[in-house]
Amino acid sequence: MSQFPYDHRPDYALWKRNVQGVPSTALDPSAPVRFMIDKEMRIASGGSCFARHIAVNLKKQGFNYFCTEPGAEYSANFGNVYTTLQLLQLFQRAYGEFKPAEIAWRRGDRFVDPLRPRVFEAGFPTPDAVAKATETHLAAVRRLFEELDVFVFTLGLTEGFCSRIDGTAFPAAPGKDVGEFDESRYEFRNLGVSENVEYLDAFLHGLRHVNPKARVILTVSPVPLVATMEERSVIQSTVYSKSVLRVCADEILRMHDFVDYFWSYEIITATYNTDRYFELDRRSVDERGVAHVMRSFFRHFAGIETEQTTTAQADPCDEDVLNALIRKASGS
Amino acid sequence: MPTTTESSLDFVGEATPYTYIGDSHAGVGTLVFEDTATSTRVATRPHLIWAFAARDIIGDDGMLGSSLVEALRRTSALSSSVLFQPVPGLRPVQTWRDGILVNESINVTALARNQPYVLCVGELNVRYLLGRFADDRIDFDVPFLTGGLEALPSYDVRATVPFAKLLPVVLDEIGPIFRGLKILREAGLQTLFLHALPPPTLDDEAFGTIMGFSAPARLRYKLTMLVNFLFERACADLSIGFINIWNDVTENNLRKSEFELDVVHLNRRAAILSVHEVHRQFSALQLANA
Repeated sequence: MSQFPYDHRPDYALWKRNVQGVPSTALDPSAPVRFMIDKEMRIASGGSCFARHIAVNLKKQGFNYFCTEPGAEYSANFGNVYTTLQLLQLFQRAYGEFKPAEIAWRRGDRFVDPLRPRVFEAGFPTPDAVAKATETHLAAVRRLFEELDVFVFTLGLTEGFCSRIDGTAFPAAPGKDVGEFDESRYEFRNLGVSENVEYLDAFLHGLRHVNPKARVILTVSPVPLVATMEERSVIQSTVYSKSVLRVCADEILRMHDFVDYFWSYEIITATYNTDRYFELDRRSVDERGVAHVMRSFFRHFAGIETEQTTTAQADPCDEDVLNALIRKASGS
Repeated sequence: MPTTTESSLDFVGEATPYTYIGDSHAGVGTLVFEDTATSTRVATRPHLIWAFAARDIIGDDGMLGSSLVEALRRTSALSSSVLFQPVPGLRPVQTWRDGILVNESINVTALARNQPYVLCVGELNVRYLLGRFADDRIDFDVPFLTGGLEALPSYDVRATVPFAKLLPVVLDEIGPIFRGLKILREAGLQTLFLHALPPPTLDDEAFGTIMGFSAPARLRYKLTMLVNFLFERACADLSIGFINIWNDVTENNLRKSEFELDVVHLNRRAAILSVHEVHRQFSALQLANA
């Protein structure tokens, strides 16, 4: 008797069992994981802004969230790392393989690090002070990469601005309130699949070189682009960017068995949930969406069931908070 | 006795202009009042700006919008001169002087101290937000009582948004109003008032016909009340008078029919109540500054 290859596929592989009839809040677009995490492991994270939720919830669930710089939002004070090129250059800078020509941008009468302009809001008094802080930071990044057990990285964007001089990938274009935009010095780049795979692969080779036990969980941020430089709708650019990153993650998975993929992008943006988990701006993922994502993450990668997740937010029903928000809206 | 071809026009004295500037709600007409206690007269002076919304008050560059500046210049609240120092948020104007184009800075006039200016804005922004919320079938929490709204028909709600999530969206929409008020207040226009939004119509069908989209009355009221709530807070913070006749023209928070002019606007009776409130607050302000 001949066999039909789909006859014995597991539940997660079949729409009828994985999706159809399953309540939206219980949808679990999972796959067998390659490795598990536990509370002894040093787990580090970074990436685009969605990575913040992962950091917050790892700490909240009592995991050993590995942080090598005091007060850092992520595992070190690198701020948001949106692109694979930024990640690769972070690694290269940490090991002296890449030295960006620009070490400081002006913000008013202060200076900031162009590669993490939002990390120290107050800035530094001189470019030298920026350079010194960068040295300390990169030492912390080296320690991070060498001592972590698992690195959770959220792939965020394909678009970005780079230096025409040495190719430095910046997290934000200069010119809004920091630095000065100069077309002769900066160029827009929108990375394709092959470039992303190349940069991420190079980072992973470097990481395993300095830390042979390191393992990596990749995920794709479901947060749409806030703006695009391409001459098309920001929705088109969002679909392009996320598609490229999702393909890149899969390509990398096929290349490295120490890398796994986590499906946060699918939970939030798959058609059955697009109307459910975004805030009123149709861009930010709301608490329920984050809770769903983290529930699935902990269930599959840690073998634990969680209910409470995220996010400590100031309550505007509090008079002082409300007045502060109104004052901020007034420009005070 | 004058014949039919002649008219008799008796001069009875001067009136202090009470200027209403802004969207169509500023269209109170030219109403004349007499304060019998002081024997002074007041005349409303409406200055409408077509399709005036929060984003017209202040631009992305942080400067006061040109339509509002022009309205305030025409009604003597602002003036320009080469002798004035530049004022933050007020963009200088260019004027020909002796064949040369010169920059003149804008500033508040001395005359403006003696007459009130009432800004009417925000109703269009509520419409924008309503379009989005109704389309998304959104309800939301608010930190104040909404007694009376339960009498309005309920609607199919997809999600109830916590106030913490709603507030940034609403403030993003109406924030330019507050920033504009702050610029004018800091420039020295002390006689500035912000008018509350009027209670919306109760008629869903008429609303849909006029606006071109549907939004249930319960949502319309809640959002309008929220914006007024935020207006009041911002005005208190900026030391700006807030003209709110909501309690006079509603019963259980719903618009009384006797104040209705059309789907969007209140009638002259409501305008008279508004002017009385302006007069009350303006007189108190004058007394305090005397």
